[in-house]
Amino acid sequence: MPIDNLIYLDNASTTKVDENVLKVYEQTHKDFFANPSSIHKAGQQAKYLLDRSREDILKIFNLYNHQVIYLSGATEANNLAIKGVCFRYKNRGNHLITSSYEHPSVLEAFRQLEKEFGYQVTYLNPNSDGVITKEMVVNAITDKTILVSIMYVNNEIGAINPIKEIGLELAKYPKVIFHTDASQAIGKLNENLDFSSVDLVTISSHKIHGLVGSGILLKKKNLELLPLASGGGQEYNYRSGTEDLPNALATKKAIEIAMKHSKERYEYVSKLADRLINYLKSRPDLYELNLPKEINPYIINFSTITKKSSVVVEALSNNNILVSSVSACHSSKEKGSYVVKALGKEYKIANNTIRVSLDYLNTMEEIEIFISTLEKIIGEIR
Amino acid sequence: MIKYDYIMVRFGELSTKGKNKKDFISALYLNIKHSLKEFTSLQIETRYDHIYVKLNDEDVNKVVERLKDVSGIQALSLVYKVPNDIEEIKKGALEFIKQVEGKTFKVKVKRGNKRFYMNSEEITRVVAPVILKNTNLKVDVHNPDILLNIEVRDEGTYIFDETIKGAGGYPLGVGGKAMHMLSGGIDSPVAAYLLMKRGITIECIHFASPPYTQEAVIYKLEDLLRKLNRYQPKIRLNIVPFTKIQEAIYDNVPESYCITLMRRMMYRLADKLAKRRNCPVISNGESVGQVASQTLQSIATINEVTNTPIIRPCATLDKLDIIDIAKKIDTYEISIRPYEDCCTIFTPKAPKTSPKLKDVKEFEAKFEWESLINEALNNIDSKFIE
Repeated sequence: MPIDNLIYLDNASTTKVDENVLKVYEQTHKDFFANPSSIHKAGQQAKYLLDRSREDILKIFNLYNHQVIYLSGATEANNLAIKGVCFRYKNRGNHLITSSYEHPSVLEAFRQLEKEFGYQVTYLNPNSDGVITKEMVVNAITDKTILVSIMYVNNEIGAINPIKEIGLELAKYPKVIFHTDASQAIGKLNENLDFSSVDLVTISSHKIHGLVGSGILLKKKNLELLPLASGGGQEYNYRSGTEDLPNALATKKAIEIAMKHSKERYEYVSKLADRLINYLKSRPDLYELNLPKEINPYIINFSTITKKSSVVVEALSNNNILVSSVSACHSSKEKGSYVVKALGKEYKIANNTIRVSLDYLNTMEEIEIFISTLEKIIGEIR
Repeated sequence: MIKYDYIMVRFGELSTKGKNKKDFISALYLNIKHSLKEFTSLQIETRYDHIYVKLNDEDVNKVVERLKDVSGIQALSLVYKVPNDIEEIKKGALEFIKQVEGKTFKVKVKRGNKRFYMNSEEITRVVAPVILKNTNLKVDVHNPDILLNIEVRDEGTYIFDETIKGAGGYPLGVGGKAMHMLSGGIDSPVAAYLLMKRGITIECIHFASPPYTQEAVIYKLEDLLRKLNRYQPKIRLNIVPFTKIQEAIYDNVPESYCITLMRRMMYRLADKLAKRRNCPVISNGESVGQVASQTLQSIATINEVTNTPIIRPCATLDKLDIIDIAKKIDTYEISIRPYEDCCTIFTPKAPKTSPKLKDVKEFEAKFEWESLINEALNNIDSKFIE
């Protein structure tokens, strides 16, 4: 049974699907169900729609030298980008650079390459602003480096990395391929998304009101990847398997909506974030904000000073307010957030973080309820 | 492949139970019937010394797998039926024994049908040579690998051995009902299983302290009980709201004594619910010495709140042995899901391992807990897992 009156403040985990996206998905299933690889006319029509959607996406991002590869989500996109490059260009070198606060689908891919395939990986720690700088990346480059993968927006504290700048700098190293996981960036930044200097870009659908189980990898045309799934040669041979037209068109729709409204939504969410941040700042006895130097209104991370954050999160959940506790909430294996530790915070703070991830669907009223409920809970629990 | 006609169900310790035997058998009959209810074409027949499951067209392996979980069954025999004709018996015995593993055998004949034209000894003397001639088996009358039983009855001759071990114990239900304290950890489901094996039905009590314990623990408990449904098809789960009691303890009692007081309150609640639900005993997964509240001194101080017998099936088992059983009954993977429960939150750095009753009573006099206990009892959330 669905839960009524939820206040959903966990939008960095996933978002509610947009009705228009869902409509596109359903309608495409009904009207254009043919296999785009079939040579009959329904198949060719489906193929036309699929190719058009790729062009539309590139147009949205003003990209002329990229291709769109439809995949099952950001995890697959990250794996294909990272392993695809490493396996295809293994003769050029065996050194890789990434950051220590990437999503597990990036970190674990690198760890696997390190453990099973003999690559050497440099893990860059963010600076005290929460950011990976161009200089940090350049300093890590060796003559064996073939890949740099740095996320655009960190999912835990919202730190925004200078992706365009890093990309332009890396252009000076023709052997080095640059990948970014932009899952938390699409439609959620107050800056123009310029991927023209980035070789590979991961985009997830369900983080932007699209469907779970779909995502894309933007790839520079002249770049090759070793495919991870062999088969019938679909998606430029980078991802075999019957093309999923309904999901592709739904993803395109989600990107289109997110990008079209990004400015107004950013302004709106900023107001919610301001209110929340001001409140948290007004009670330094209870909370400590874990924010990067440049604040991202979509992700507000703070720690509870007096109470265990996992208990606070559970109490909020019992009040139908959903946030996430980024710290390992299990007393048996408490580690604390390494991202928050990177901001220079002590163990107790890093171990009691709460992440509120906002969205344009949230209202000021919800923020007020969140604030009053939070304070009530902090006062009540032991 | 020969096609087995019956599964002969042999009783465990109940053969020794004299006048209660009839009740035991009828309980076992009902439990078998319940556990085999999805096999619609089976027939179950009760006799004085065995229960027979007539297979008809059901898959014998699937039925056996199910019966292995039914407590009160000592052994299962697959039975092959042939007409009352010595040539058929010879042929059947040979076919049967070829499918059984072993190096030595003994033929044991029982002639219930006294009108059959050969007596037991004569039958043995013609069957054994056929087996010796056509297989590599040797005779061992003292300690055979295979005891080949041939039973001549009015309706036909039954051929069987005694190879499949059952769950043992007593039929579920004949031992009465226990109020079982279920935390969701590794030990308490194992203890529940051990009770069921002795024929004891359980009803569960769980103490929930939201938000200090997670709501998801309830899903975990239901998953655990669904595993235990193999041994007890319907289990009642009672969730007691424990937050207020826990907070009151935390506010009024020194940290090192919190666990002792908490356990005493839990026992009081379990005791009251046990009486309300006609359970003569309480049971739990405590294992001596495992944690601070399970030292002998702690157990004594905690147990002082009630006269009701407490059964602790895991009391002297090593943790590794408990884990082995948990893996066998498939609850281990569920138990190790990392949720916070009553035992892992509010955990003081140095809990008392030898709490003194005098101190405990002093602390309990300091705050009003009787009303909290009654309030908790009146707000129990109860459901059946089946």
